[in-house]
Amino acid sequence: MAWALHGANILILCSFLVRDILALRLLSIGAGILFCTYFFAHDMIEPIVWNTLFSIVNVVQIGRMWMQRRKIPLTDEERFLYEGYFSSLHAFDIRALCKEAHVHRIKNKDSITLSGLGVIFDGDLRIEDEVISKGSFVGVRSFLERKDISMEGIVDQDVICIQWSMSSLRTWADHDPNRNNLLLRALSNDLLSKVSHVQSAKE
Amino acid sequence: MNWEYGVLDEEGRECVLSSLFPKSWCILVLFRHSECMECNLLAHELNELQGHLRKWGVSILGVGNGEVSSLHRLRTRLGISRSVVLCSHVERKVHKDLKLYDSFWRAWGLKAMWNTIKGFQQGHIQTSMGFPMGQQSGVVLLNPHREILWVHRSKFLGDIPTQSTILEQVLLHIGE
Repeated sequence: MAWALHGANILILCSFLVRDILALRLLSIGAGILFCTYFFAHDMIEPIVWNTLFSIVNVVQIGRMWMQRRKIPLTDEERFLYEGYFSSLHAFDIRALCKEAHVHRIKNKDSITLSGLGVIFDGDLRIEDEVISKGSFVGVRSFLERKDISMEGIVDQDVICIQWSMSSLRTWADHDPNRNNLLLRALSNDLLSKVSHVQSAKE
Repeated sequence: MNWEYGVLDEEGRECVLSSLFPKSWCILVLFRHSECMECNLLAHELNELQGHLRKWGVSILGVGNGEVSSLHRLRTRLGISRSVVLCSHVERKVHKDLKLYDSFWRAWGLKAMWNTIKGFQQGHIQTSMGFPMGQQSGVVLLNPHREILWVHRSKFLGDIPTQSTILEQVLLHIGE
């Protein structure tokens, strides 16, 4: 049974050489199985229990990593958010963002009441003489001031608006500093384009 | 605050802090010195954000409180852009007037130690260990009239405002 002991140690050695944490954990599980085989042949229960515990932890972590790495197809709304604002995030994060969102499909001549933060996915929305076009955010100031203010808008064409409540978007962003950075940069770019639009209109 | 504090610029010339302020919005960064983990972390956040701050016309002014030579080290070692004005204020009156925290535990407490380890893990480096290292650091947002709009006082080593926090404050106040 010495082969199992040597095999396990060779796998441990290989795990130290790889740089990918997923490969490291897989090799560690393989080594654990070989260790258990060796210890089982020598009636040593304690090391088997410890190695089983290590393997369980590794299996759980591999499962979590796989969930984050797996390729998931994005919907049109998710792709719009990913390509427009959050391209450095993983599809998993975008899926989580969209899960918190409410997609409003507003028919021509209808009005809508929005609260929290929204982004126009398609069409133009008019709020108090201000036309908010595709890709622009609605409710940036209230989001920054952390006040859940409702706004009423009307549409002259069919509009699709993706909207989040203040608390759900804050929770999503606070989960990861990178999410927060990208969100704030997107809002900043949106405000900058609105400022330059107002300035060019004045000129 | 009138910002009439005597400081030394990068060439070691005596000048008044108020004369170094830009005419635009300004982020005033108060450093303890250039070698510690906190300066590394803060410089990294500001370097990444600087391009975006420039779009909003926000300049950065750094006030250290070590030797003038440390300012040059700070700039070269941490990759601080030439557009950032740096000066040194050894008396630390600005730090005191802004009521920044200064205590043994601020630099040597559990949170400070933990953040030092996290900093190393993120690839930052601490190049000297002064003692007692009673750090006083903070970040202040000022409007063109030199009025303080927001202050972040670092309570323990590594307690720095993130990029998103700084940007959020800039948007909140400039947007008005």
